[in-house]
Amino acid sequence: MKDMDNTQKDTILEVKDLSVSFDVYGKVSHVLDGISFRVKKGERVGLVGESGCGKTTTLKAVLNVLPRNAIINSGEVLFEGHNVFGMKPSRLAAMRRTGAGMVFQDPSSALNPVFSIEKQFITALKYAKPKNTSARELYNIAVEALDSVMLADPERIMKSFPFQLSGGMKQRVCIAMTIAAGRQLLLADEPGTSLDVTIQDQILRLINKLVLDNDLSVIMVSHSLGVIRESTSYVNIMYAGTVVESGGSDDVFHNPRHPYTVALMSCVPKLTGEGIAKGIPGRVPDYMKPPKGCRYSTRCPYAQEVCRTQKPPQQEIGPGHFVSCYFANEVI
Amino acid sequence: MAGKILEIKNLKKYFTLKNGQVVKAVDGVDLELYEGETLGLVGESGSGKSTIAYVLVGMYQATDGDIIYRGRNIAKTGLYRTLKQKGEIQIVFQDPGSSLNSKRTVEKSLMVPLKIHTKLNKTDMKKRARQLLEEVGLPAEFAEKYPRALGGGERQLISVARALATNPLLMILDEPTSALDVSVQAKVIGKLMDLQNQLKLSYLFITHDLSLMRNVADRVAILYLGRLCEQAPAADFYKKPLHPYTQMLLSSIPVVTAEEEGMKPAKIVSRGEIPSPVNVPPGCAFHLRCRYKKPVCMEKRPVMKEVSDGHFVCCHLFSDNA
Repeated sequence: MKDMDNTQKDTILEVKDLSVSFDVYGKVSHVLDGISFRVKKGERVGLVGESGCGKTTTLKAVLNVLPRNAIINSGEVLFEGHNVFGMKPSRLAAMRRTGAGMVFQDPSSALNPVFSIEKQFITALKYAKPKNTSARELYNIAVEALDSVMLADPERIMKSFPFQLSGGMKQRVCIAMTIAAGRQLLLADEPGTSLDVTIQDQILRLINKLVLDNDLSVIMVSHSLGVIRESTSYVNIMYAGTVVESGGSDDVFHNPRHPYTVALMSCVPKLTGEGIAKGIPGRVPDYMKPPKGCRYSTRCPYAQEVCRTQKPPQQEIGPGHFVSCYFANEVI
Repeated sequence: MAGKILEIKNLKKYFTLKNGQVVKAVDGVDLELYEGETLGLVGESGSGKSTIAYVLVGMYQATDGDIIYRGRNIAKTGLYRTLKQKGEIQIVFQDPGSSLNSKRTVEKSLMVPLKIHTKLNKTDMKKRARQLLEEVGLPAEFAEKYPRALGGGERQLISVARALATNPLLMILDEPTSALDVSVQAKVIGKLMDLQNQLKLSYLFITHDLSLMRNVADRVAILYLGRLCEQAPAADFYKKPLHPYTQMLLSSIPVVTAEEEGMKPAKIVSRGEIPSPVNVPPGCAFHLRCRYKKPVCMEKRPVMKEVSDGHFVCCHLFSDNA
């Protein structure tokens, strides 16, 4: 009993059996299908998958900012133990202001081009800090935050407009704005994808450092397996709105067991130069008519009748390493 | 060794801005490309890799330098090239969503180069368009579809088919797969490699992805701010990167296996950002970010030096007078 209390306390976010569909002009697109994962305090969790697999939809569900045509079929998202779908508007707003914050893929469109960084930063902080905080204090908090993301000369950055900053600097500003409000959970949606590799490396190292220094938690979303391997401790591999495999990052990357993970890994070009596989045959299923059973069954070389008709249960094949596949123990 | 198909000597391309400032997008690049090989050109954004591609296909005129294509200098021709030369040098762009006309069916897009470069009649052109689709491994029914009905990988293969329509010898691939998912990228790359073997094409493969380069290129050249830093046969390059910038690039790549991790020069940590090409630092362009910086790096521009067979590096650490 005591153990359970402890895990409850350590968990900052829990997504339980989340299924989301979208009403598209009368037709229903079944996107997320039973997503579950947990983020502990100070943990870095990765969501990785190809475009259209539901990574961003999952993040939007966490903040409860899904578009109006979204239908939550089942499941809940518990932030510090409270379901975000049932929260009072005021509590939800407070969570977004100071609880969980997003860092977007493209920093140029995340910042408003017509306001200086100072104006944008202070506006965001005003709502996150107590009402009686003075303007001077807000300014100092902002400068300190810019300093903590290793921007040289934060005072000058405050006066700049977004177009005067490089992509890497803008992304640092976005990160600073997210952490300055004292948020505990960072939702990073492809934070380095639009940047050059050397800059991406700097941004990822910065996020890792902030997480360790301030005991933050991160959900890192990326389509790049390499990014996820290097910047998370726990990873969820997503395919077509389902989590097919999850576990400790070292485990999953060293010993992938789901046929999709194995196929995806073989498609990644490697520095060792062993050549690339010829891709995964077929296409991602149509979300309007997703397969009844395993969503990967239409492309899987090992698929049997049972895969096509019944959803595979999650199996624990190693400590903390889960695979949703009937044949997880047979596939290499 | 096969003959040279292309030789670029001291290529320069400057752009003058409205306020009179000069952007030195490409500032003295030497490259050679042999028949049937893949030369990988790698660099960060703003390093001038696409500018080189555009000069090669004639979209820009070179400011200075020579481009010798099969014995003829085409550096200053711009678009005034012979039809044959235009057909022989083709390009595939990064984003197939914007390089294919969304109002044209696939067949119509494929027929544009056929109309210009061949004397086929309409029925034959339609037949040829379907043949081209088959060559890149797409079903013939795609001919009647519009680009929006296709996936990113399929669209990119159609751009490849369109480039093949003129029977090219030299293909310039400008980040052909960087907009695609890895599983789709793998398909497109596989097809490109097959086509190269079948049709004996030479590829100038432009990308920012060094791990992809390892798997496709015979030789690799690294660009930084419009200048080459290092050029080497692929295997040698990844075993022993010499230029400090190259080492920084390699150590920044996120990788998926432990063996790869071992190949990265771990000690070099990425720092700084690529400066604006309007104001290229004097001396070595990389000295602002380099951990081995010496006084000479700030004053004198280093020269390319062959340190081992085919492995060239442009850095004062390796020059004789240092």
